[in-house]
Amino acid sequence: MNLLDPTQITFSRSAEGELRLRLADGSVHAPVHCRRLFPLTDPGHYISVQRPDDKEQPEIGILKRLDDLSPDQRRHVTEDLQHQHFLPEITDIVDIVSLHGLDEWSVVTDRGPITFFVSGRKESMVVTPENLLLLTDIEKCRYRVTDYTTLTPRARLLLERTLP
Amino acid sequence: MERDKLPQPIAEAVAARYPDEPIRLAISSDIAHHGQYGTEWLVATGGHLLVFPGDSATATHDLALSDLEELKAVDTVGAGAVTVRTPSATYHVISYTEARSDDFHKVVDGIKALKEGEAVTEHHTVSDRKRCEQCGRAIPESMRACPHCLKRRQAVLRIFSFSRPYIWQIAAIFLISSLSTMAALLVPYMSKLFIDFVFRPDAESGTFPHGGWHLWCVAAIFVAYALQSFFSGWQERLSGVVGFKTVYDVRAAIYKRIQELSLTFFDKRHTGSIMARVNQDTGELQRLLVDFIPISLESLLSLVGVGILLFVVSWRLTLFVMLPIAGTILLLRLIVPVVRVFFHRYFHRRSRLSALVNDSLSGIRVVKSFGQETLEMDKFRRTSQVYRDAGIDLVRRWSIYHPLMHFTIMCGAVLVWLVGGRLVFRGTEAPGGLSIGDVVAYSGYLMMFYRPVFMLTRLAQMITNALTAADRVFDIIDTTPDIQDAPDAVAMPHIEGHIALDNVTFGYTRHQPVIKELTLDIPANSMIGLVGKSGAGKSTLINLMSRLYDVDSGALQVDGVDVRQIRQADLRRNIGVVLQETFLFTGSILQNISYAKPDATREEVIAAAISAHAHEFIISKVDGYDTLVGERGSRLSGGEKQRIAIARAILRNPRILILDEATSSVDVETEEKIQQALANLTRGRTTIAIAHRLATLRNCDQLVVIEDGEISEMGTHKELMQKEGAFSKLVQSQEAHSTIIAVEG
Ligand SMILES: Nc1ncnc2c1ncn2[C@@H]1O[C@H](COP(=O)(O)OP(=O)(O)O)[C@@H](O)[C@H]1O
Ligand SMILES: [Mg+2]
Repeated sequence: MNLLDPTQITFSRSAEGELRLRLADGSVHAPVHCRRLFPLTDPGHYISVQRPDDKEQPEIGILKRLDDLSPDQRRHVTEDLQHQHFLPEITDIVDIVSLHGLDEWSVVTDRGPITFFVSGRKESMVVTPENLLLLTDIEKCRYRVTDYTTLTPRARLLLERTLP
Repeated sequence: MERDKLPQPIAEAVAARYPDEPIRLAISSDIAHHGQYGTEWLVATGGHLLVFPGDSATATHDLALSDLEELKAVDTVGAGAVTVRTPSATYHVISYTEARSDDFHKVVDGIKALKEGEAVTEHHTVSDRKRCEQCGRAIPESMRACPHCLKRRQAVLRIFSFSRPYIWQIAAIFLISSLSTMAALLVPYMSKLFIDFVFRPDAESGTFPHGGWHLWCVAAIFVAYALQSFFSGWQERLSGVVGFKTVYDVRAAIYKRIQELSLTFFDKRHTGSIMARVNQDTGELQRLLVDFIPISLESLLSLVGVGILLFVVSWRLTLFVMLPIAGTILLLRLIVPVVRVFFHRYFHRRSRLSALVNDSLSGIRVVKSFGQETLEMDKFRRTSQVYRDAGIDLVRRWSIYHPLMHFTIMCGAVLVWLVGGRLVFRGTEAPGGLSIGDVVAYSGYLMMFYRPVFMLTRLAQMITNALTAADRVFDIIDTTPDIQDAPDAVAMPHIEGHIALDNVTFGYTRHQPVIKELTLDIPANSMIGLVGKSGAGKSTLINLMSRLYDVDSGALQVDGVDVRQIRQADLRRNIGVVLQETFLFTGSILQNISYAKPDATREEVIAAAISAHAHEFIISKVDGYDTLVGERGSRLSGGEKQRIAIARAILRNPRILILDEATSSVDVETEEKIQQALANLTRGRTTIAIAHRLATLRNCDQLVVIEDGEISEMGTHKELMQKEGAFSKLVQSQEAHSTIIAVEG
């Protein structure tokens, strides 16, 4: 495992928006992409930094702690992570309306408010023993609630009525 | 077309900037550049590509198509982005969610065509999202109609259309249940007769002048009870019969359709969810038809009957009694939704617990071998605790609501004695006055009134559930199979076995071709070996040949006829397949082999088993050919299963034989033997073999090396070895590998 030393590397963004990485040995890689290795259970740690152009060995290294980076370095990484992994976190449920075998969810997420349809089937709603809820809507977009027991009582009531 | 919805300011801005270049393609995204939900527009003219945020007319990107070294739609997790490579950098210009992925792939293909100076075709344009004609809302891509406006009534009518053959029984049910209700209504009236007439002593003599009626009235009440029991039993029986028959028909219809549907349908859905439709959803319909409709029918009849009688006995009293009844209904409306959530939570927790137990017990070997019993116990305890608490919560609520309900109902009874008692004191002669018998009968009717009220409050929920189930069932029944016999399909009872692929392209999902413009000619009676890394598309190719899927473009012909024009039954009859994943059905070895030819004689089955070298191990089993293979053949080893599958294909004696890694799980020695047997078998028929161990393909007339959905090499074993290309490299690496194994072993 090649851990990257956060003090030795520098992320930068080109004028167009390309993310670049300079390593300790002075080599520069572009474009690079970041991926969380534990996007659901440990989003703050273990970020894999990759260069998609290299098919043989795409991974440059692993960044152990996001918080070890300086704030502006971190911003570059989180921006890219946001782009590479689109899984909105539902922060509040406005309403869930049952229609014709589908549930229409109106929710507020960390990416803004959105309305989507979920089929009332088990595989479109997965709950783990840790109360993580993963939703897949009928267009295959996914949403998550990290711990549904922390939602407001009203949202929880709406949610638990719909759980399979 | 989506282009028509491009906001005017953006269209004007583009026109102002490039007056000579009309807009060719436009598409809106659903993620803004800051990563939040929002709209941006991607616009392409003949020579430029522009991106506009929202409805602002200031472009955030403006690129000349000629400057682009590369342009693609890159899918990331849950989203994607149009990515460009210019001489200075690679970056994304616009992002979209999974929902828009297909559309963006189309448009990017279109922009590439523009860049090459080609014309944009309908393959590149995105149709506007359908909008509901009634409510104007956007209809989700994967739905046929607006979920808000779909007519519920239709689903109901369709369930009943399945009941049409039983129309006379249904009429009888109606009649019988009215009779049963009438008999039930007689009972409280009889108690009034008893009190006010039979047991009324003469004020002066103290005797009972109507005592002679006693036995008659007892007999009447007896008959009323008997009739009610008889009719309701009869009605239950009849409606059960009609319900089960109807659901049987629905289930048969849905299963027939499922069997007809092509594999693309199954690729898109979980087996579990299809199973749920056959079992659960039809079960839900069954509950509606068998239990619920008869009960609510009865409830409705007695509600009307009792309601009328309540008014007839005393309308004054009824006005008072309406108060607690209204209270009860109100309470029900308030409580039921809340209680339902608690029930739901309880059931959810329960299924989580049983899933956990199931998981841990089926993996008990792993648990034991890693010594993780305590971990499992902890997991169980935690889940069980949550389940326990949900149960306690539920009981706590229930122990409040239930007595409360009961109490409200009983208030009605108290009110009868209070108000009714006063009316008794008025005397029967006075207006509105009641006799004691009246009050008793009234109490009886009142109690009869509550049951249907309770039932009908559940009606809405039940109907919703059943309709949802009905929708899902009809959703399948209404799906048309992607692969269907063409109306002018030709009958080809005898197939020679000449297969020709011409520029065939195919992908399981639209924008990811697995087979790319592949052309291949397989003469009749030849043996072809397909070689390539795992994931190269070999199995996909044979899926196309057996027409489990249809090609996206190009043509696949058998004996010079496009497969889409051949009757499926004829094609399948002439093809025998041994699939990569051996699948055996629960049942005996005999049943599994003869699956290919149900009318095969026992000799034929044995002969096929001998050719497949399955006979050897079958005779060592206690039950011989009657040995049960277990669920999915779990009681046989991998090699044994494969040999049975080969026997199955041999028994079919097909014109085209397809072997997809058919001997991958048997030992080298047995493989040699099977190969010999197959060599006999493959003579005089077209054979397509995929083998992991390349040495087994020595006898092929032609070897085809597939790499990433394309043919990279072709020739006989000898030719390819001499050529020292991809094939010889594969062979060498395998030989090196097997030497290592030999040394280590
Ligand atoms: N039913 C399917 N749905 C989606 N993708 C599939 C399906 N079957 C195979 N694929 C994909 O198609 C590609 C080719 O698979 P396949 O033809 O099975 O390869 P192989 O050459 O090993 O037999 C693989 O990338 C595989 O993941
Ligand atoms: Mg395969």
